[in-house]
Amino acid sequence: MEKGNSTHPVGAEAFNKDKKRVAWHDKALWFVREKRDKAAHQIPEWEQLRELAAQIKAHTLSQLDLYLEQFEKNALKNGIHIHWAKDAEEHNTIIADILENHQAKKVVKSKSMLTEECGLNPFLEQRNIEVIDTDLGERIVQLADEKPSHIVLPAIHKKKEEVGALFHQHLHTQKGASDPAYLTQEARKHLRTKFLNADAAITGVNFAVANTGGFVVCTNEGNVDMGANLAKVHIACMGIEKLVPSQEHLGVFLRLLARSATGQPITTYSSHFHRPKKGREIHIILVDNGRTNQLAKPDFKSSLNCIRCGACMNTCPVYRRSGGHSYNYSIPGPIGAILSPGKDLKKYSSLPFASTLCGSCTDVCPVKIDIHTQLYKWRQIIGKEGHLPKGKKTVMQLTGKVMGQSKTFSMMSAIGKKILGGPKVLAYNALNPWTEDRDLPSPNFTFKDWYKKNKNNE
Amino acid sequence: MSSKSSIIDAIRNIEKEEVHLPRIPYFEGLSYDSTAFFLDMLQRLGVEVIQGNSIEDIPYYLQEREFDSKKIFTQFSELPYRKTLKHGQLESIQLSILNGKVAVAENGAIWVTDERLSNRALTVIGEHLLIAISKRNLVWNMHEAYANISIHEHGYGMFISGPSKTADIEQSLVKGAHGSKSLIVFIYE
Repeated sequence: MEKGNSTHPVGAEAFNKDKKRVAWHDKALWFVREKRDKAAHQIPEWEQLRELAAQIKAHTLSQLDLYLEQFEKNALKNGIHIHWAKDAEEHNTIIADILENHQAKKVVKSKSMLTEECGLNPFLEQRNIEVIDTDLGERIVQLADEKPSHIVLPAIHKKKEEVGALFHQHLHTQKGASDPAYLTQEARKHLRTKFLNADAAITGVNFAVANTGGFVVCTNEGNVDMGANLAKVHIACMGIEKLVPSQEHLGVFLRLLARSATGQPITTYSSHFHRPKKGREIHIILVDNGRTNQLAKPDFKSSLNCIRCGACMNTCPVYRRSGGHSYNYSIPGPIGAILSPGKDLKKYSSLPFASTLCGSCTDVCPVKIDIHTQLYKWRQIIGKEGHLPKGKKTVMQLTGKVMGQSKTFSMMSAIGKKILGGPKVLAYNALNPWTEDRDLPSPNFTFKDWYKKNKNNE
Repeated sequence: MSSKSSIIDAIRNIEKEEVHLPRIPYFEGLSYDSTAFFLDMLQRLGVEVIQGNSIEDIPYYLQEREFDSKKIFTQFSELPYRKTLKHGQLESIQLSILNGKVAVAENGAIWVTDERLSNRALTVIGEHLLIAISKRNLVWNMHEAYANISIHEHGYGMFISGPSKTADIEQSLVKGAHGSKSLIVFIYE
């Protein structure tokens, strides 16, 4: 389901070929981060809300089996069909079966990171089903035959001129037109015909409520409500971690979600579905796909608190300068880098290293996931399991030896000093990736020299 | 073994610490004047506000606007507009008039339900949207809002806080992505 570059450094290097674009991308995301700060600072109880949200999630996860059964029971009473999928393949097959039962050939889809995770679109397209992504950003990347590069802002990596060219090619907009208002209006017209003619609608789920058996989906565009309310069948896909015990808990999460995501006080639409309209059907697919494995890992289970706001991406200095595609996983950024190794440690072994461990992700996370600590812990596991890249492994082993013995350390630091003071080619060569984008200062003395001289001046 | 039992069993077999469900405390509003705060929030959200005495006044305020009354839908039985629509007529709706149940000052969101809503898409498909809300049904924040509604009482309900919008093209805010291009909030006594 993922394509493109295999490791983060390779993807980041490709993204960094265009320095101007990197600066533009960095600035666009920092702007969103600043909006989040403003919105958060307006709420005096912000920190208390984060703590409550973390506790509610921790509690729900600690009794997830009971809450899932309670949710199923109440949803069935509401006339909602419930399906359970242990992995991506089962999730996709269930959807294909529901669509086949309704002879549905045209499907409109709202944003759902889970269906990206499961690779639903190509699966359905192979079965001659038309799947149209209706979130504007997702439609843009779909037309470009790309993946979303951000979970809230799927086309944040695209310039308006590129969107204009795409729309000109696929939607026959005016050549060279790149005005966002014009392009959005054209997309509205194009997608209205898709909504009105759809046989089925697929949406994600932001929160599911155990004691009422219903679920909440949040959007700004209104595409969930257009899709789900016009089509005969509404299929809602959710990871099993999306549950909250009761409706009062929604108040906590809805105050946090949009403020953390885009700095809005709330999304334009927060839609609550509890029963299908007469003659219509609602199906919910409860998906595991690695979540119970993650829940079984005490160090990493809190990553399941995630409400997919994207704040950790917007604040991450590495994400902002390497772009979402460099992660090569459906959820990029710091949160993706702690979720993905649980799925496939070897394949995603470069992601926990795509961080400076500055901890900004942890600071902005509305559900208090200790993201940077988990990144560090994954690194230890990746090292132990032998998935470190060769270069990094050799350097780490050497560094370990050098730092472990005082004599070798003194010798190496004296040599290092000479190298940095000597001809540039000694330090700046292909053997030393550290100097590719960095200038190293040339020291006049080693740390040991400095310490000997200064130890009495404390 | 069914997928359900394998998932439930897997969760049950994990050794988990007991974590208490926290009590949500009472949170005070951000100002002493919730109405003024609400109006200010609506303005920031790009919402037009009309203040009137009662629901029956709505036609008076709409008469000078270019709506075809046959293309107006409403949830209110007392208003002289369409109450039911067929699937094929939905697209031509110029204005949907919805019955706001609870309004939230802190974020400008208003709760509407599918009561007397002949098609649920009428929350978004109309070119424009008007939500009528009584001053008496204004609360401070989402905690109070949820304390005042019962989300499973209706098959479908939603908080709406402005016109449909997107910023997916270079972060430029554009109104009217899929849903209504504008929102009017009619506040009555």
